[in-house]
Amino acid sequence: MRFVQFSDCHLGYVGGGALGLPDEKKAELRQDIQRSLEKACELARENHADMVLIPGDVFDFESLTPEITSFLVYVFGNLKPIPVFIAPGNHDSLQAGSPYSPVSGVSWPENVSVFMSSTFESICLPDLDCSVTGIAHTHQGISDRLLSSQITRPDAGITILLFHGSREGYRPSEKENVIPFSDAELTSQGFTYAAIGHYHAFSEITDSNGRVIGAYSGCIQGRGLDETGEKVAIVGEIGPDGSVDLSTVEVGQRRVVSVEVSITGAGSYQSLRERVGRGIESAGARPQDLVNVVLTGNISTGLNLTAIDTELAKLCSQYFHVRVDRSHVNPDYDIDALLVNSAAAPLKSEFVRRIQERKNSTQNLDEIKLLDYALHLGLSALDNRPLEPRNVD
Amino acid sequence: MWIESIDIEGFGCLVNRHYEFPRDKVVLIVDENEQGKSTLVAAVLAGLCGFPTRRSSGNTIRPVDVYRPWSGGPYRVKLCLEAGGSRYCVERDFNRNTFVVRDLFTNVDISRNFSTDLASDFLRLPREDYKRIAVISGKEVSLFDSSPTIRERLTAVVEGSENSVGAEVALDRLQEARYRFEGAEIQPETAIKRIRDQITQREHTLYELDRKLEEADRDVQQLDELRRKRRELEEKIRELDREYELSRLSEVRERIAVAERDRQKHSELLEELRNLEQYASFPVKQADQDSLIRIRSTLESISQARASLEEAREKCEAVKRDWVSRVRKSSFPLGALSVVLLLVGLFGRALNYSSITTAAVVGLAVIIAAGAVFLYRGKSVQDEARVHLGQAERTFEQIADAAILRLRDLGVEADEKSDLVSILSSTGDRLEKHLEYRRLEKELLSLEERLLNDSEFAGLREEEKKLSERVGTQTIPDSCRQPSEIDRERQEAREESSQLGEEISELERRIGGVVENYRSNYSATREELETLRSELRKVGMFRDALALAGEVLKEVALELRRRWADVLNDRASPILSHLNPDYNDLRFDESLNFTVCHVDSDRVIQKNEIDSCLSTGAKDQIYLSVRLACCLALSANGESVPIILDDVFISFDDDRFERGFRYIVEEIPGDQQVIMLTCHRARHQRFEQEEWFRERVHLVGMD
Repeated sequence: MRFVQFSDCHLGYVGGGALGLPDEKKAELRQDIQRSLEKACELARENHADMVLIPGDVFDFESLTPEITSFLVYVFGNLKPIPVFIAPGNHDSLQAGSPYSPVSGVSWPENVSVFMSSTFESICLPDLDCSVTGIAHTHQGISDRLLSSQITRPDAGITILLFHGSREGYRPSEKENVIPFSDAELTSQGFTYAAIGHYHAFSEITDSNGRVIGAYSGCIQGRGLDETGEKVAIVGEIGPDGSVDLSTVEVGQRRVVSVEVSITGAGSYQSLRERVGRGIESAGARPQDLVNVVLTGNISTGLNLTAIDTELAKLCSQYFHVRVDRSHVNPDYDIDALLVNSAAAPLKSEFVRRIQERKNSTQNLDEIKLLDYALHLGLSALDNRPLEPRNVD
Repeated sequence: MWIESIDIEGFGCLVNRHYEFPRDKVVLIVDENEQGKSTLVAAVLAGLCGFPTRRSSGNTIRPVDVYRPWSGGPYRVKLCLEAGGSRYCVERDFNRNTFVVRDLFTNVDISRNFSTDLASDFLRLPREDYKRIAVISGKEVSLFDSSPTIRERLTAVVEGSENSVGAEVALDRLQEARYRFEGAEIQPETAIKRIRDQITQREHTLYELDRKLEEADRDVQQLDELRRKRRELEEKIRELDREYELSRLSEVRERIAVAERDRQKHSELLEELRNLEQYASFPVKQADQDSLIRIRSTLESISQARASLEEAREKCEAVKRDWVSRVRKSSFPLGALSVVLLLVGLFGRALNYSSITTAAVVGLAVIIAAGAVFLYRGKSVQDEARVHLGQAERTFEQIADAAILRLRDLGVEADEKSDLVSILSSTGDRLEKHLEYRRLEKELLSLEERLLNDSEFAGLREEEKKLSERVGTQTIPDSCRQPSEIDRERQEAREESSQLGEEISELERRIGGVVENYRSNYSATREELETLRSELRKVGMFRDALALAGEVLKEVALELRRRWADVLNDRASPILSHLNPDYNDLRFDESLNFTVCHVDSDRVIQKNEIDSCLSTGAKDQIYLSVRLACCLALSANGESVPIILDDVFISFDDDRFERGFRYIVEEIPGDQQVIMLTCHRARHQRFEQEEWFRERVHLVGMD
């Protein structure tokens, strides 16, 4: 049995705040996400998939427009007769105004099945000797540990679990904790395969024998700093013995590429441009990509931090979007020189030494970060330089 | 440490120079300006410490290039020095960027044991600190005129912030740091408060949007329920429509049938009326219906009276006939019985049977009595019949009189002599016909009132046809409700459906409004919230880092000043007394504020009076005292720190110059190296013959 899995399309929503995307690029990115979804659907046709599994967050409820709904109806309708199973997530949950709702008036193609209950329900496909068991998130999302108790598993050769949930131990801090589950809990459910949505990076879940029992496909298009790299759809094959074989195909139209470039020692803008250019190139960025350049290190005396954007403008124009984060660049202090033991014990050295002592006495990364920040603010204050706040995200 | 000599192959304007710095002597280098004295100081510094690898802020020339010989050629110095009991030769080629340290005794290259900054290695004073502490220029000493306070200058010396601000200014800057938020430069704490307020506001907005959406969820359920009800109602209405059509069809067909019957009846009535038209105006045209009714009633009464009369007559005759008949029937048996009895009586008499005779007499008597009773009763019955007949005749006569009057009213001539029966018979018949005509006429009118005209009838036909088509093959049930009843129910259902429709529309509007509002505001508010949270983290970290920097800086500055205050309290005051005997008892507190006693007046000049009460010269002397005290304190704690004084007395008057110079020469210990440079040859020349000068000063020129 062959399936295509993708999720977390978040149609309609493009944050891009951290990337500093202007409105026109946001609009373009929205279109790209739709193209990514079309590509994922095309994948199902090309691979003669028996079904398409979408474990949630097809769109963002608050950004949904009638055009997006029409697009989805059209795209999914084009997949006929391939059945499409949707388990609404916490961003396309069932709530007033949801196009999934029967009262919405949206007429979904007959090949589309949307799970509408906040408890697990099953749909059987006798022709495939297969069942799909899914659940829908309601308004604020379900936060119960639903997998801690046994979910009714239909009597079928292949049983698929479809839901939008949080795998413990892997949850990014900004993600809501919806339907949390442990690998052990998922294993104990005994489903042949679990198609899971919520996390935006591809990851497989295996049991103790190394057998694949589930996977996140991740989002289909990167939109933020935490969604770097290839964004894929899964093409999966479940064998008669229940073995699961997954492969990924990039469907994202653009990648978010993040690269750190140290500018320590770059004595001229030309040198700085070259370093940034090399950094972006080595990160594999393509012209259509969104690039996040984090400048680190110390800026050489004579270079103006605020002029960097202008200096990098030409380089940046070679890519769809480049965001340059200058907030991690430190003034050109020779900390090592300041730390040299001096009988005169000058204030600056003593200040640096004291901060370094504090840094050495803690393992707390946040504290170290704060001390580093304080170090440069203190030195800037002593040197009568502007006290510039830095980005902390 | 003692710098013994320096050989300069090329350094700035100095080429192939050699300078000796003999032990236990203060080296005094005297020459005119622009002869290279400052370059010599720079060469000594470069020989000892090398050049800084980083250019200072704002400088575009690398430090090493500042003294590169203009004419090209070698750019080299060689320095011989003693430190820690060993003698070293330090060779630096700035063109080649080489640095070699040799042991002067063994000539072994021991460079690997040292960093390029030998001041740092031997004196624990990195280049900048050594320069700041031990290289004192008269230009610095006399800078007080342009400096805000003497304390700041002193603080800058001990804190090592010559090119930067002191701790207090830095602390003020950290304290007063501003954060740019919404176009305004505000304190981080204020920014945090504002951002938090805005976050709370946005969170509340999101909460409200979510809450309203949740409420709308309930509305959706209600909407679902209402729509279900309406669907059911619409189904019911469709059912009622079907039932109505069937019922209406049935009714229409019945109405058509009735109409057809009425039309038939109408024709018949018209025919009948035509037949009775002759009676239309009889007996009088204008007789009203009541009169006719009364007449007919009278005629009927006459008929009845006549019938009663006839009946009474017949009855009277019947009684008479009955009497006669009874008399006939009973007269023979009674007669025969009487004869028998008579014979029996006679026979009994004859035989003398008295009892028989008596019985026969009694029998005869009974028969006679019975006959008498019989006759009496017969007469009574006949009399009664006659009375009855008389009454009937009287009644008839009375009615006949009334009838005659009625007939006359009708225009029929009749009197007591007329054959009333015949008249009545003919009049009654005509009257009946007339009345029948009138009844038919009325019936016709009534019929015509309800009789459908052709158009109406055609309409019914048309409706029947359409209904038949709609109903199709459906069978009209035997018993169905009236269309009006169905229609009433249907109307009620429609009204209910319409009401539900309004409620549904209202709910849809409400839900739509909530969803639209949600979609319009949620994303933007969420993005704003994310931005604000990010901003809060940023400003929070900024505030924390500022506070932390301030805390550490304050702590370090306090310790530093406390330590230096102790040092200066020990050493600076005696030096000042030598430089300027008008002042003594220079006392520093932990903030490096100080007081000084004016000897003549024995007045302690308080720290807040220092800047206003002290002369510029006194400030210069205090500053120099502090600088020298620092050097001596550092030398006392380890390797002796060579002091380089570049025209430090430039602003001193001759008296103070002499005091200062003699203090340097006579009071500073002999193992403390001092190299002095000056352009004031005349000032020193007058001491050249002095013994202390000859013993302790090694006078050289730049050449």
